[in-house]
Amino acid sequence: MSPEAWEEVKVEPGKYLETMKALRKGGLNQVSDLTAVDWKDRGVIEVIVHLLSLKPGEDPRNTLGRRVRVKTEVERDRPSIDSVTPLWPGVNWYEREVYDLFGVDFPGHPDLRRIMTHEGFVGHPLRKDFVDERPKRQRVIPSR
Amino acid sequence: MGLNNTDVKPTEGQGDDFRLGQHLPGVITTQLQKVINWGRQSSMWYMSFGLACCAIEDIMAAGASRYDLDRLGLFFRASPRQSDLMLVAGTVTEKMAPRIRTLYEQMAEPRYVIALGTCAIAGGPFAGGYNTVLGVDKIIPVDVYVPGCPPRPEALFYGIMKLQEKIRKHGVNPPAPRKAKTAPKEGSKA
Repeated sequence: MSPEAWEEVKVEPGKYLETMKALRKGGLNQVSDLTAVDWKDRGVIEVIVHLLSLKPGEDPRNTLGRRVRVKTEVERDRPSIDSVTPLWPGVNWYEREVYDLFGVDFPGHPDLRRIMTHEGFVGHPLRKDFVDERPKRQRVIPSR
Repeated sequence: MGLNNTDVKPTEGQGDDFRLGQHLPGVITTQLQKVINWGRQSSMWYMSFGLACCAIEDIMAAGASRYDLDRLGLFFRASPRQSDLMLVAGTVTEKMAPRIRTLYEQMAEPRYVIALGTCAIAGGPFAGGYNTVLGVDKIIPVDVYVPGCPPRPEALFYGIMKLQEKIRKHGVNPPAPRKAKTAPKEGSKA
């Protein structure tokens, strides 16, 4: 898939859910991916959603195989973005993953629990300032 | 000879285990513990705990027709209740650790564990990670360690033969498995 084939949308967090509803109604009926990037220097966490159309919808631009990328930047201190699980049920575990690894809250998610790490885990490991606070143990490979 | 007699020293190898009676044709005389241990070592049904690439390189390759684990009497069982041996192959995460412990406790005694590959032994290249358990022996007792990244199927076979050697030294009642290591001591041998 060449980069030119993607349409990219950048939205504010306040208009995120509205945009996603419109795109869903327009016929983009599959979420390929939902992930995040921690921009520590800018103090934001960028949530990125990849959408794919598997059937033509109401929107005349919406052809088969249309791909759209939606980017939203949320504050790093209290990251929170509306859940799109009610629109695409398949995105449930993706949002749980972003919650687990980046600490982004998804209001409206039916079951927001950690998914990769165990229930007692402290911190969000893919944040740039994450430190492993478990007690230092033998046989750990020292980091360079 | 009582059932708990563990003083009888087993002879090396299987050749002397069964002797045809010289005076009574059709009668075999042997020791009970040898028959039991022979049964234990020759039908170790294993539960494959494939967690990563070692499961492909070892358990699948060794179980397929080229190497053929079946000829040692080892069959794959999907249920811990029917298994005697657990092959832990791959990186153990902290999320998976309680599940491994539960499945181990569900296995019928006597139960054995083989740790396959560097990850299952000590965490391997992921030992510095935030979610890695540094060896499955932190959770359950391990009988045989098979090192390698991944080990060859021949190495797994050697490990199984070592385990069979261990089983042959059992009395009628197998010894209770030692407890899992809680924390490695300073300067202890890994």
